[in-house]
Amino acid sequence: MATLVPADSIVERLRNYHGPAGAYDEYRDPTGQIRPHWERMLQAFRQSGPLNLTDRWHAANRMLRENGVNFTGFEHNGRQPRPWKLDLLPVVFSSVDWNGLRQGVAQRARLVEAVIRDLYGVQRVLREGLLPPELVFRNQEFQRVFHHFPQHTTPLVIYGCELARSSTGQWWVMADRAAAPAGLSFAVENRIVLSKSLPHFLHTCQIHRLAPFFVRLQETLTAFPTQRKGNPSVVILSAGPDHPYYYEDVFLARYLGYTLVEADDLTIRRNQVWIKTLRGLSPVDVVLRRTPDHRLDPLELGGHSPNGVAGMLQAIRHKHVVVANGPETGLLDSPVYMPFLPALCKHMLGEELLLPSIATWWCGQAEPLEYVLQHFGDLVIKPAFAHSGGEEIIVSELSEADAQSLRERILADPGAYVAQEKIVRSTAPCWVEEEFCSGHIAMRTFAVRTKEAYEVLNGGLVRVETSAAPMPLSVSAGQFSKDVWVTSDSPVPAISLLGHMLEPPKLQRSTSKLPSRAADNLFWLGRYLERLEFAGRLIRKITERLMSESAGQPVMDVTPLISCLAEQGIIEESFAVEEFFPRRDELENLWPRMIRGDDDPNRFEGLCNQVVRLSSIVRDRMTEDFWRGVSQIGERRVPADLLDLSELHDTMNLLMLHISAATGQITDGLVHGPTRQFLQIGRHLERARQLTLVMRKYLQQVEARETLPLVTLLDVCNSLMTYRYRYRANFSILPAFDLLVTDSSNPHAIVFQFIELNALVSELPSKQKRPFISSEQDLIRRILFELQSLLPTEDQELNWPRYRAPLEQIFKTLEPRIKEISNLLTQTYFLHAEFIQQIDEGREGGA
Amino acid sequence: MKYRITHLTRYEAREKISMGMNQVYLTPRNTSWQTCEYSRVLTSPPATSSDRRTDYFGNIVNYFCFERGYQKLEIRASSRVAVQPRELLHRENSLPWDKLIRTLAQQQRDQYATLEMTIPSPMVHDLAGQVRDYARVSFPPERPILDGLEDLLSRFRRDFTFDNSATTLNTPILEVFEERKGVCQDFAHLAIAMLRALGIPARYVSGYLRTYPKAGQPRLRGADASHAWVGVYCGSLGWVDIDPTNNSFVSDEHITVAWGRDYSDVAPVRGVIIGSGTHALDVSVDVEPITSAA
Repeated sequence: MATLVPADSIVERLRNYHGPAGAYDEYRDPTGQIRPHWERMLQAFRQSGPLNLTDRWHAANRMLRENGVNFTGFEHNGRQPRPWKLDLLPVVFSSVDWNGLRQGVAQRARLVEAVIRDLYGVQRVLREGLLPPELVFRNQEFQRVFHHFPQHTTPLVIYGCELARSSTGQWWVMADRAAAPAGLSFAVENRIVLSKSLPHFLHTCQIHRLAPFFVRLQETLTAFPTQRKGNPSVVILSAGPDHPYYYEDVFLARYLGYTLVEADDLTIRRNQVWIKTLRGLSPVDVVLRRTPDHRLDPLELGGHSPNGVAGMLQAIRHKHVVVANGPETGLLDSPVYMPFLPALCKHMLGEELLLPSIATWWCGQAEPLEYVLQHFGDLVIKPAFAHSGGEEIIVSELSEADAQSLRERILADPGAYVAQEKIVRSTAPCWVEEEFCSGHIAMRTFAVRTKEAYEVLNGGLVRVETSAAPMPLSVSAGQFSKDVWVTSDSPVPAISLLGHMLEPPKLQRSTSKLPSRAADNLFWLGRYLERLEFAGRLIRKITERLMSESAGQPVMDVTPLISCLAEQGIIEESFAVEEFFPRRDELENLWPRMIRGDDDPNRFEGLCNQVVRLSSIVRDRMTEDFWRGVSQIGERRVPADLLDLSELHDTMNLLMLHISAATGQITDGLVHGPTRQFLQIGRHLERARQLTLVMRKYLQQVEARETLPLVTLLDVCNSLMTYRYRYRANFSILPAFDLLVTDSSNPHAIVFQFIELNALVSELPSKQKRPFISSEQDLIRRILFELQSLLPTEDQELNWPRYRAPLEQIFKTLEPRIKEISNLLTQTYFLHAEFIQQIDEGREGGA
Repeated sequence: MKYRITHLTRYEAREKISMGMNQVYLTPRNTSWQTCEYSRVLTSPPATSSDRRTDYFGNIVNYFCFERGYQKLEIRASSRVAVQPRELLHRENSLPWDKLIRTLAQQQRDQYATLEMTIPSPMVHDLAGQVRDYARVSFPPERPILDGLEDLLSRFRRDFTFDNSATTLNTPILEVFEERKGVCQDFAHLAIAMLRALGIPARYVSGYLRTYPKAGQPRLRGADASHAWVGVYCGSLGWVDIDPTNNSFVSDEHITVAWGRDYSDVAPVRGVIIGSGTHALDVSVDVEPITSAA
């Protein structure tokens, strides 16, 4: 392994770097000279002393992983999130180079918006023959219900542009992205990570910052005229955790400081959009839309997807909400419009198109079709109306028979296809893992609408493919990604989103806008964290006992622990039944494999996944350190081939450490408010359940006089130290159970959980001002009273049988009652996702 | 002719739903041959908010929102409409159909909108193959378009049977074509598919039809139904309506409510409810001819 690469060596390698022939190289000009705008970076490498680039690469990519940067959304249907890989070397563009691009990208954003306004308005471009009507009428995205939306209610705010640079050095637009362009967050994450991996480089090299773009975005979103006074309320509408770019929605919510919602967090009243929060409905003025267009309104856009907000289009028509990007903005994202853009630009904007599109032929017209058929083998064929980035067929890679059948398909319906030129993308030097190499780059950059014009990001997202093969037009394409550095001619001022305040906010004591869904997820995150922690402690203890006892000796003291795990399905359920209990030697062999389990969500790994999934959903409300702890839980999986007890023990030890890091952030890192309340309610309720379960098993399975099982019980309940401190080594069942059940000073006693729950639940916002206490609180208080009554009054004598009988009575009903509390909380606070149903008159039947 | 029309739609949920919204196409539009003298859509319970707008195709659409929910909903649309007879003289002198589509293809710019009705739409997409072959028989080269339509209507009379139980809302038109059975909506979609397959612009018209009681019997109130037929673009004659269910050209016994590419653009009543519980539906329509102005 090449560890330490002296800086002069990377400089040396860069000096010796030459891109492959036939491509434009970003680093070196055709005469062999290093392009001058790379000089400052070389200089920075020279000054930085020896750098361990391999280590830095690993550290950078670990940082990305810990930040949860991935692009398949969270694990879903067995799909693992694909991690984002970053190249340590950025691609550098000169300010002159970028200026040309900047104007071209901004112009295209203006053009796209102007054409869409026209098509959904007076349709001048069709009337005057600038665009064949078929291209609009045949496009399934041309939704007639978007016709004549009022001005400024559905603006194009963020426009994305896919670019490639051909061998001549000319930039070509490969795709316009105006629907809900993805990739901004990846660009920012790359920058954050790279600025930490190569400290001072950005400053030394005078690289433009990305933050001003987001400041503009905030300004634009909050400057829309709304019908209410004061700062407008902005939400980010996400398609939810199953969506491939959910990570980006969460990122934007955090970075921009807006509430993240899904469709069923919103409702329409009086043609106005409202968010359902714990304290009732709260108005929404601006929606930053990240969902696919057709999902926006089930009333008018039909379909059977319950992911829209019924009545949203009417709210738009009444100018009660601004939806950015508007639902109609994706119309031109298909490649079929590209051949017509130069003429449209001249007509709509009175300007020449600055940034050309990749050469595109629409087969629906005779002449282009003829060209396509003649040059068939050199072209890429795409469906005309699908958004760029989907299916594309490289004809030269087809067999003769397949090419022929493609020809026939095109001839049967020429209007459904476009052909595009193949392009060899430009190249740049890369450092990935331990390798220095050359890669072809695909770039996506963005424009944001401002009051006057569109402003282009001074940077972007580059994806790299080391082969010259065509790259799909997607954020997830390529082998890895690169940061984009645009040099400035003068030192770059520090601008950050933090320094930017619109208007001093009023002092507040609570974040009232907790959507009911978020409360629900927080509650379950609390429960799963606790369940995972308890299961982890049981597994660790069992493993420890299996390791320490000599082989052949039964380890009776862990029996209650095993059946406690089995009853919850965390390990094989049959182990809950005594007849099926394995012999010692069997257990020792089986044990590590039993933990690993399969895809069952109840198994240990399933619990880990639940914790990571729920954390990723509520990530916009948690601290970064919490997430770091949780992402470690996600990574510390039990390896599939693990057979060794001591390895399992180590894994469990580490896991417990990460869990306590995460839970520490809940108790210490969160202000007292609804976020913390729901997490804590979940944790205490689950802890009460786990304690009940393990003690119930203990009472069923263990003789009262045995010491070892009691010690084990105290240990897994986190109370062994306390016991020792109080009673020395005098282990006896009554003081032990008192400590675990009725000692209100022990945070691991059952009674303690209900004391906390009682306090937490009484602080929850009540939706109605009623003089009654809620059913859930009533239930909590009854249980609390029963538990406290286990201890006798002063004049009575206390002994184990007298304690045990009523305790067993409580245990009989405690678990169902905990479930009941959970249900009551759900009914009161979490019932957000009401069932949306479409109703239709049916059909017209007349004769 | 003048008509008084009542279109009653009733929903009943098993449990009270928490919120409901409807979008309805129940207000007859004004055209050169039809005047809607009066029209009103009332609901019970009264809507918490309501609205009305003109859609992309120029139809009138009403919105109702029931924020406090309901268990029973009644939507009552009443209107009074005067319809002029539409007479088609000199069928044999109408433009040859193939000439018509050639002029359309040459992008007569003010007619670009008619091209929208030659393109597949959500419920009319099987335009090739058998459907086209069937239509072609009625449209040999240079045949005047009205003659072609007349011929197509007579073949429909011969080949297709009205059958209320043969199809559902989701029956594909190809299946209707193969089974040769269906209701007005199916026949309208099928005729549209045939005409579009040849390149002739055809649109879906939703409305009502005057019905006659059986000889010697009184007219039954509420026994009518909503109806659907087809508008065909015939060049200088404009849009000519044909009724493939009743095999006739449309005159003054059809009352037009709305038109679009197909049913999905102009479904009379559509809605969403929030809350569970299945919905029962009951529709009744009454088309009453009135002789003197009321």
